[in-house]
Amino acid sequence: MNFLEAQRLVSTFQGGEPLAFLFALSGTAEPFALYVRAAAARRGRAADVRFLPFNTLAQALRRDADPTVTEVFLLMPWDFAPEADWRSGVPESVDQETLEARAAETASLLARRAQACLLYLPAPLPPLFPDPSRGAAFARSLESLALGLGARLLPADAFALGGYLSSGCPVGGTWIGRVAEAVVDAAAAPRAEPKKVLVTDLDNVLWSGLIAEEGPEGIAGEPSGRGYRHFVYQSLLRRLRREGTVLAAVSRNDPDVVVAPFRSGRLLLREDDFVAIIASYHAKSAQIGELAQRLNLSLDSFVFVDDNPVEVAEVSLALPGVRCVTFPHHDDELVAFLDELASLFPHRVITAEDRERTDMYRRRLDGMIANDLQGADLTRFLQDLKMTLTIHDRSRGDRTRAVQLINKTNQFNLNGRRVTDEEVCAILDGGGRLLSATLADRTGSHGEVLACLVTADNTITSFVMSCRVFQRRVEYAFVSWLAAQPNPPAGLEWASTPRNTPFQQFLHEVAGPLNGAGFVPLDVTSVVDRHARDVGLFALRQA
Amino acid sequence: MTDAAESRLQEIVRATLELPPDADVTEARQLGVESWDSLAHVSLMLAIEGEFGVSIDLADQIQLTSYAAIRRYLQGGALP
Repeated sequence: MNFLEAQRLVSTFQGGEPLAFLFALSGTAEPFALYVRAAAARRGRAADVRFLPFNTLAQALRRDADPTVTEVFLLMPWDFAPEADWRSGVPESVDQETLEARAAETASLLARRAQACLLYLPAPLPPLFPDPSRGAAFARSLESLALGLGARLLPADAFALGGYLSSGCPVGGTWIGRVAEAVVDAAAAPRAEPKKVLVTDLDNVLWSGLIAEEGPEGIAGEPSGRGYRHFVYQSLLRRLRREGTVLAAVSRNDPDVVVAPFRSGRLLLREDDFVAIIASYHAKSAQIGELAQRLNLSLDSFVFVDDNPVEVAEVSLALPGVRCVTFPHHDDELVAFLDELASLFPHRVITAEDRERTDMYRRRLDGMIANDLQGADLTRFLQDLKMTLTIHDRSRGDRTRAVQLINKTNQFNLNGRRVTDEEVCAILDGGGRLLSATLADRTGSHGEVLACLVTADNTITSFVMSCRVFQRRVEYAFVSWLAAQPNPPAGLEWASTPRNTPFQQFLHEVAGPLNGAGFVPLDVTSVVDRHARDVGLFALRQA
Repeated sequence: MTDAAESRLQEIVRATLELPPDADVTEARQLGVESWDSLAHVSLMLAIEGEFGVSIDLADQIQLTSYAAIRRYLQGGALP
């Protein structure tokens, strides 16, 4: 954008949303005025820009920032090292340590202005040192300081020595329009408040594996093998916690199960690194909402990480303010994921209070009590998944996976009973049925996720489902389908186990209040009626 | 200098010195135009640099104190 174009933009601008900001540079800023107004006008904004008086940037940095004012700093190398200012000529001698100390002091002053937008123009330095290579290294170190503060780097060519010497304006006429555009972009960029709380899922996020199914020895979170990527994630969380981010965990599990890995000493993070580790079978959105309320923090300050798209959707729908990030399923997505996560918790300065924050908030929480909390209605999301549930009759042929599923599933398990292949064979030979179901959706196949063993007298003696597909209503659709078949089941052989709370909740919904262990009758008509909507979520097929 | 370039130069001088659109600037000199102060001069030099894609040395900037001198400079001629 050159002068005449800027002039035209400003003179024809009809007005728009005000864009008020302070444009701070140590040189003369007034020549930027027209170009800044034009760049704002091009974006439909009416610039209301204030400048610092010439050569007062150092003083301004020593005053506290006004949180209501947007500040854009155009920084030059001599703002960090005043001896490098061309307007003072080449210094007779310099002490590098003094230069570096001054630069670090300026950087710390800038770092305190967490909301300031920084632009850095890496203008060439006068020859400061007898050895030119030291000068080049020093110039690089200043650039690194600026980048470390999150500054956007401008092209060095934008610096014009002649203009700077004559008027104090560091940018030449061929660049001033482009620099003004960068200034306006910085001023107009939405100010994302740093997040405060990171709520993480545990299984297949903080560690690899399912703790309830595989036990503490079966999961991996160490820097080797399948646990490595989770170890890297833990290490980022450890750093964020040290910088003042409050960590919390939510998991569909039992409380005593999820704390075991933290107590084993095999993880990088300890139990007390978290303000709360919430393990329950209630909706995660409800748990996060409860946590926010108890911590007295806005949901806008929360980030939620989970590998399961259904959980992510549930939290997104119920709590739109929470920033949800999906833990990647592939290593090549890990870098972008970690970058995104780190960028949500920027800290230019770490204070003692930051380091104590988790402890402070933990004191505020005197234990989270799991309530009967409701989550989001996921119907629309689940419909969009285009799920196909295929029912397989495993009474004949290969039943390996179905039997395996019965013997390895803990959480969604009717009674925790393990069966041998011979026992299953005997039930089938006596007229029983072994059914299983595979699930696929628009993202791909989830494999064989459910198994159900029904005896000849129509009693369900085994019913299990993989926790990978929790919250998709698979179990409801299946039982409704089964209830609608000829010879529907009369009931289920229920038993409570230390791990099968999810099944208990399901059974309570489909069969009514439970009265101890034993046979639970099933009202098939009622099941079919009440769960027709769940069946409608799937394209139901029989293999 | 082409007519188009001259017209652009005149437009720049009028705008930076805040002169009326129909003002004849061909005889303009810094000493004779009240609004041609040091800040306006900086703006004028930057505008010329940007518009004509040149970089004007400090020593030249000091001498470009009239329309005629600027025109001559842009034509590659000798400065006073």
